[in-house]
Amino acid sequence: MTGTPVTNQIRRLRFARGEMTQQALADACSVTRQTIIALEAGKYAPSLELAFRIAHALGVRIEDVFSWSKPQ
Amino acid sequence: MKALQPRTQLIVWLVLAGVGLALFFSGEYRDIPLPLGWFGTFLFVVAIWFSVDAVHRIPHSDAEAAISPGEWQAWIGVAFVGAIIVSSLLEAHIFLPHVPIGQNPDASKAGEGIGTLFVAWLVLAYVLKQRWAGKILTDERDAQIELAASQWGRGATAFVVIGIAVLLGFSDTARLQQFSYPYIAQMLMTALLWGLWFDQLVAAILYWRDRRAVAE
Repeated sequence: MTGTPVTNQIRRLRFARGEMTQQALADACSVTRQTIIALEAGKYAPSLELAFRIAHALGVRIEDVFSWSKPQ
Repeated sequence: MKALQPRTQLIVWLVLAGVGLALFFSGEYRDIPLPLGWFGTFLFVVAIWFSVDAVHRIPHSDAEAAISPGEWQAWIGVAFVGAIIVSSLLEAHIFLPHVPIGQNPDASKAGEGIGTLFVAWLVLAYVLKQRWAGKILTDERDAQIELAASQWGRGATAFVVIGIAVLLGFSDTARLQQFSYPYIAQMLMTALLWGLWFDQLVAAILYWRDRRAVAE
């Protein structure tokens, strides 16, 4: 798994929401905990649908969670 | 049995289930005046029943949680399909005589061994699914890994089938006469199993590589 130009604030937002666990977020988004771990480590770019589900579970807009930086 | 830890109980029950399965497939063919096949079926059903009970009582560990269900299944697939391939290759010579498989008792016996491994694999997969009941087992990342692994698996199958075609195509008449139809059928089945094994192996490696990349 290589790095991705899609960066995210999942970890920070999880802690902002009362230290929501990775497993709780994974359950809320219907994915495995390992996928949340990979996302937080910036090693996996989610599908658009999963990105929306994560934003919904964290109670924020999608652009508050994910941003894209143009590869050099 | 109650004095043992749930993890030890599970191992004991799974071993007993394996013994039951082996007796079911081979018991009736032994010269022992006991209904071993029936006893094997009974042992298998009872052992699976108690192993599912034991699997629910094992506490979830951090080490287990670090590995996704997909990775567990892939590694188990590597082990079982690998064992089936080794068993097929070791017994390949049994299929050399120009006799239909149904009339070759050695081939039937070899088939029972392979059948036992297949059923044991299915049973273990079922027991693990019971352990993960209520959990998300696969998601889009697993689908990506499975897609990549299946592409490698297809390539590996095609490679071996082409190898068999070249082997048969370039063999001289005397050599071709040694290859019976059951032997060629066995080679093609082994090629399919090789593709499946390669698929499972690539999936397991991709999961492991992902896990390592995140840990670094």
